[in-house]
Amino acid sequence: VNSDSPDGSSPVNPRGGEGGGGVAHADRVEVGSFDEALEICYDNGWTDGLPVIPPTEDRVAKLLTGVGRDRYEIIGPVPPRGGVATVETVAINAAMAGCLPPHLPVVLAALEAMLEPRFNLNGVQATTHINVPLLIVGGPIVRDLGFNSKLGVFGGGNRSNAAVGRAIRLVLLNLGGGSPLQLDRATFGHPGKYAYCIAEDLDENPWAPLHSTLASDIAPEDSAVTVFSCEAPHNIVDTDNSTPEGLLWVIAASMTKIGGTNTRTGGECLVVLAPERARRLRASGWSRQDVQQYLFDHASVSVERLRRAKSPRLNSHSPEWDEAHAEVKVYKRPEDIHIMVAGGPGPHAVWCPGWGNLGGFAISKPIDTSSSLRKIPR
Amino acid sequence: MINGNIVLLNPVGHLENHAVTPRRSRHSGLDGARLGILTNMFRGEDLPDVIGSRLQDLYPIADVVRYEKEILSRPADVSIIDALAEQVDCVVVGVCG
Repeated sequence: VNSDSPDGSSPVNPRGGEGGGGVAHADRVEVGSFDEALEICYDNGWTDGLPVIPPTEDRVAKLLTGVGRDRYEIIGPVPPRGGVATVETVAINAAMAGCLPPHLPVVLAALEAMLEPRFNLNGVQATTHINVPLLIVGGPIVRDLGFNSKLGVFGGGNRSNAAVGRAIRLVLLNLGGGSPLQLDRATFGHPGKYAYCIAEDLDENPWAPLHSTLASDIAPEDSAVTVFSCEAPHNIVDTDNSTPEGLLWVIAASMTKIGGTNTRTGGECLVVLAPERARRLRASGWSRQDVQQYLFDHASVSVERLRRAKSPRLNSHSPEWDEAHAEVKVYKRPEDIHIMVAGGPGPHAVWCPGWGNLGGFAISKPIDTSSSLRKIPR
Repeated sequence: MINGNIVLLNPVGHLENHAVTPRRSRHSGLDGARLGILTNMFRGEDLPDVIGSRLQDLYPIADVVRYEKEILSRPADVSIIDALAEQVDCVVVGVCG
């Protein structure tokens, strides 16, 4: 194996350079065969444990046709390791994940969202907690690129969801050092650390897309990706209620686990309504704000339970909590409860708790869909 | 392809060039040292105090000073780093309750 810089001048460290000023081209590694390339990726710690597609020069060059950006444009250092993401290094990881050129703008937008200071990617990557960045793709690109927003939306079987989700994971692993072998200190990890990418249902969502509620500069008709760091989806089944109040009360009551970081500190969560739920609410004239307000009002825990748990939520003690049977709202604002529609038939909803008030907050970024190659034939 | 071989691009990128200048020379040992402990301020924790006491039992440490981050999930504020550099000879970090 020869490891050389682009001009063939000097050996390189497979875990990347240690500074040196400016952003260099990606280092080159020469191998003799496809099988050897696969093993080199393992040997250098470049994979998530599954085989990757070897990031050849040709494959990366093809991927870069998906964006009209300079390949050496700096996106930013990815914490906690601090590997500098450029359009090129993101494309390399996207190639390894199986992305096609039109996927690259989605990956870049998601990374740019995660690098917003408010997201606290350093903490998200290094915490002992079980949250992991979830990507939520919205707008026309869902249809154009064939993202799955319906049956099995959180599961496998779709190239766009899987490849984009995995590309971000490889970026966080290879540039950010987010591996249990390096700087990821999550006690249990998370199955979404292979890929965690869903899409909003364009057909069944009765309200504006999620991204337009989070970013005033993104129009509802635009394509965007939202990142939100959260636990795995918690299923909430309800075959027994039919009114909006009944359906939403069951969801609200399920959003209050005493050991959850939301209950301990506040912060944000995501509620994904299956189309049946959304249709019922729409038929009753409920807006997204109505849903958020109802869940906010009814997702509460008793002071007695907080005291029994010695919850840090008690630090923000209010006088009225001294009343017997006093209830404390888990979320601090209705708008901290993000609502979207996805999934298939069935009497289900999903709650994804966030990382409390510690970071991983929902951030949306527009996706540059100006590339003429953006549609994937189906 | 180079000479029939496959050329891969390294996905890990380069690190930012941080020129780090130590503020103080490294302390030669714990004898007479002032020890700082930087915690993430988890409520109810006693681990930092236990670490400090244990180290004082084992070594002739002059003093133990405990510092707490304002936000447990984010890096310590620069004012804390400045205080540590000024007031102690060595620091235990990464103390999580």
